[in-house]
Amino acid sequence: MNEDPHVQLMLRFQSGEQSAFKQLFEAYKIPLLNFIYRYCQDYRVAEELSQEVFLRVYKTVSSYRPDAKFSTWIYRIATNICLNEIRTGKYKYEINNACFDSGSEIKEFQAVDSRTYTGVDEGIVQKERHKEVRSAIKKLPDKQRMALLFSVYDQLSYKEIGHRLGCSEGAVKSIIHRAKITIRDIFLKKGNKQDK
Amino acid sequence: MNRECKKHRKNLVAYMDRELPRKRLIQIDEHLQGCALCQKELEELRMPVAALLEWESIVPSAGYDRVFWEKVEGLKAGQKNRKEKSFSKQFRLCFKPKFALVTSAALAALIFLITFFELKPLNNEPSQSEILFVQDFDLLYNLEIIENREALENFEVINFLDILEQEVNG
Repeated sequence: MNEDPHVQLMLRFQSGEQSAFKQLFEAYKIPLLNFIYRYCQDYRVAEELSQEVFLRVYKTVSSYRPDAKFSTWIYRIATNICLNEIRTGKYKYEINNACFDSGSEIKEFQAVDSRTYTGVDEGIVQKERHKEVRSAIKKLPDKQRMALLFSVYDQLSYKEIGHRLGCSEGAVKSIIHRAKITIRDIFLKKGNKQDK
Repeated sequence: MNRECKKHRKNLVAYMDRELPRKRLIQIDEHLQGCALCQKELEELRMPVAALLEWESIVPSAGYDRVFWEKVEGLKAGQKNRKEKSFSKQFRLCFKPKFALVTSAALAALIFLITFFELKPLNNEPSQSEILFVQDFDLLYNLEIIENREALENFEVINFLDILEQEVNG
């Protein structure tokens, strides 16, 4: 039997307990929103797509099988939605327009942590660096971008990333290697030299 | 870059993520201690990752939850409507010319069953008319006996025929 508490909540929801779904929604809404936001870099689209993920969970509850960790399952839904909806669906237009390279700055919505803004100059430099790194992320192919986000923000192992993306550990190793080399090159081209 | 550097550089990303066997991690550790070029390479790989970690988290907008639960309600209503539509669709399908014969046969069978069970109840309790009929029958039977009273009397007479004969002879 799967010991994951979120799997248990999902099974309770499967047996008709609506409050279990509410708990899952509360537990995953911020992590999912952030993952999708970092992937597509559009706040409105991220909100819509994260809601779409939960709606997909709601719709497919009857066919849910506790084969893996709940987080693996829900992030797999999220990656599929991102890949399908953003690339080919109704959100294509917004994503293209949300690109940093167009010169429009993506608005920061209710930043949770403002401790990083220590001074005006440092703040400007940091903002610039954020912009560059996001721009670099944007240039990565979809799978590389997702794997990198999982690796950096969720601190997942290659094996777990493989489960979320539906590919092997070896493939993830290669994907992340290429992603990190690519953003390093973009970052260096923009003049971000090592402080040392 | 010597051969040793080349060998380890292809594993620097995995080294950074601690995704190598312990033995290989130690080998790279040892190499890095004596190789400034590879140390620089590693730092350059770490820099954008560190910048990524400074990317602040966002929280949902004020109406996020409300919008989501409205969507869930919409989904529930949609599922209910779909079920109802499916029933009415199936019902209408029955009256299509293609299925008319089957539907008529099913309806005829239903009407027959209803009529049959209506006329012949399943319980074995006698009806009021049956009870009255049985009572009348008893009465009728008794009436027959009464009607044959004379024959009965004659029978009694015959029973005592010996005594009568003795009396007559004696």
